[in-house]
Amino acid sequence: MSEDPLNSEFALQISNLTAVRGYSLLFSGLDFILSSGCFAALKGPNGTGKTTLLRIIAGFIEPETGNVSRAEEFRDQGPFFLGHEHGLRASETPLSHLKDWADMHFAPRDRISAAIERVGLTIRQNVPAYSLSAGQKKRVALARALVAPRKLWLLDEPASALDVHGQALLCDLMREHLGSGGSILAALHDPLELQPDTILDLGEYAK
Amino acid sequence: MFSTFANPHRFMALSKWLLPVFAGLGIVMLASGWVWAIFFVPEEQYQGATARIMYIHVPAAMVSMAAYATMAVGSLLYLTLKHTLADVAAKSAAPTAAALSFICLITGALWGRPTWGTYWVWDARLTSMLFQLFLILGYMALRSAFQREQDAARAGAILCLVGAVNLPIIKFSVDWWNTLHQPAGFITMSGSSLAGEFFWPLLYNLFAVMFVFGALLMAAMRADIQNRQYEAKLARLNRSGS
Amino acid sequence: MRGVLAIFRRELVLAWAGGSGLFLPAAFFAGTIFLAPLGVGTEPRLLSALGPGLIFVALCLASLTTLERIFQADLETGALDHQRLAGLSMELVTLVKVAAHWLVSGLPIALLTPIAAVMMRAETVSAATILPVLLGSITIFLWGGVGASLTAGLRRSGPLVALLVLPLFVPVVIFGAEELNHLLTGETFGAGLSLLAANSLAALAISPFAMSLALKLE
Repeated sequence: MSEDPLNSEFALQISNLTAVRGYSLLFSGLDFILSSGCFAALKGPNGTGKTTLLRIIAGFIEPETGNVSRAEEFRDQGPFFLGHEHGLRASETPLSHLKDWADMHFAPRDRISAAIERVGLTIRQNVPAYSLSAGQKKRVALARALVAPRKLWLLDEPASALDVHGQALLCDLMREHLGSGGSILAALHDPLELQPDTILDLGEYAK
Repeated sequence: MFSTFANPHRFMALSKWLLPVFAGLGIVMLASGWVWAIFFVPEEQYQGATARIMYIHVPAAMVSMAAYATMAVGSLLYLTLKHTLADVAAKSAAPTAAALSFICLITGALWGRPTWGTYWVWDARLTSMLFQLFLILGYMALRSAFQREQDAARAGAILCLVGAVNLPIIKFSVDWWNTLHQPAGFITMSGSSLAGEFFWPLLYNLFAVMFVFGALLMAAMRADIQNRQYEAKLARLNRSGS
Repeated sequence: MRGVLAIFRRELVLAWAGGSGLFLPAAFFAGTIFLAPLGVGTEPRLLSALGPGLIFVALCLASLTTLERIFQADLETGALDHQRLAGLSMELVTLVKVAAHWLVSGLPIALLTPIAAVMMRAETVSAATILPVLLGSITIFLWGGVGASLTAGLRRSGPLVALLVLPLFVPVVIFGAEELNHLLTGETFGAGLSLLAANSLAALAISPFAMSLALKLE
């Protein structure tokens, strides 16, 4: 998944992608290019493979055919991935989790307190995850992107479980990310306050 | 070269006539092989007629190992080439491999009763076979625990290969342990050299069981491929219907 | 290295916070050993003959008590996804997880061996008694990790893991019990120890690849 130096303006390039789930074909012949600094919304009815596509791009699943190339990230790391699962173990606290996150990604620890403040969890930073609400866990997940920045963000229903303030925070963070040249592919059911640059409708590729 | 045989349509066409040939040869040879072994082979000098169980026991043991090898080769090809037919072969060989291991253990125990005076003496070969049976049962249990065929295939292939690497270690350890704990005056099961009058019927029976295994493998593979094609068709119908 | 150390530290902290996970296998091991004399009697010669084998069987069974959790919790919460995106080799990550798990569950069992040997009326008990169990437990946890990785996505996988990995424990039980018997009867190290070590190395060489491949299951 290395990057072609001539196409460095592309954050993500998908060509002729086909995916199956069990015995059924989800989508086929998918071609898509996401430029740097762009936000693409991933749409499509339930069961068209939005999550599967995001997981293929992240490299968790191998596609049936086709390939995915991504812009190179720091130290061969993958994109920033925000899935349905929050990735917090019950006894982890936001602070301990982000410290491990920083170390795991070779990122400096001094960004942590600012990131926690930004997502509004300063007074809850030492509360174990089993006492946090779903929205608060989502905020911890967002703080990861601030601790160890990546060029490509893959977001799977990022607004779910977030309240109005949380959604505003999400849009602010996305805007800043795009402003600094990053790119975003987000599976969305309800539109965000932030307008996407392009829309990828998986319904069109379903067989 | 492999890809020409990896095509399921080619396999289905080939096995359509090869399966009855193998099945026919297997049944005829097995029946005649047993008649040969029971009525025409002379009695063994020390064990008498009981040694005739060898003609079931030894082929079952050898072919069950060959069947595990089939599973291991299929698993390796599936993991490296990602071809479904290799997985179908590995999956389809497992029940027969388990059945043959079981037959080997049962006949070994029955043979042990008149020879050693007990059904079970922790003989090195039988002990290794016991753990091979456990590996195969584990493989089948693991596969059946997954809902999706692809998950079952990947997990099963990894387990089968880990088992294939471990089987020689298990065999070595059991042999080593057996030399330390073997009781005095122990009679090994099959003599190191077999006279020709015992060797040829044994070889004949070995080929008979191999043909039976080949036929059962092909029948199971055909059934599995047809099942997968049916599932795929069902998935397509469900999709277009909704 | 910093990334791998972070995962190692996180595993240790989580195992510690999990509480029971830390002492459960050791307690199970001790309980199994203490039950045996109640079943077979307290005749010293019988117990000392039974001791080495029983210690290794108890080690195998005790390892199974927490095995299924090595990868399952991280898979369920999605933490494993993030570890895959951190740019670290998954072979190394899985190995580190097993190492952390071994440190909190396997090492305490090895350290309990002299006590278990005394209670099984062994003739000579020394610090060296720990060595065969230490080496054997490494192999057991590595193969156990393979079993755990294969079943990480399944619910209630405990009995299945046991069926998968028990055949792989055979050489450890054979070499280990033989060597422990050697040591407990006052002899010096025998061939069993080098065979145990060789077996551990084989497990060390193969299991990380099997585990990382198994965890790609989606």
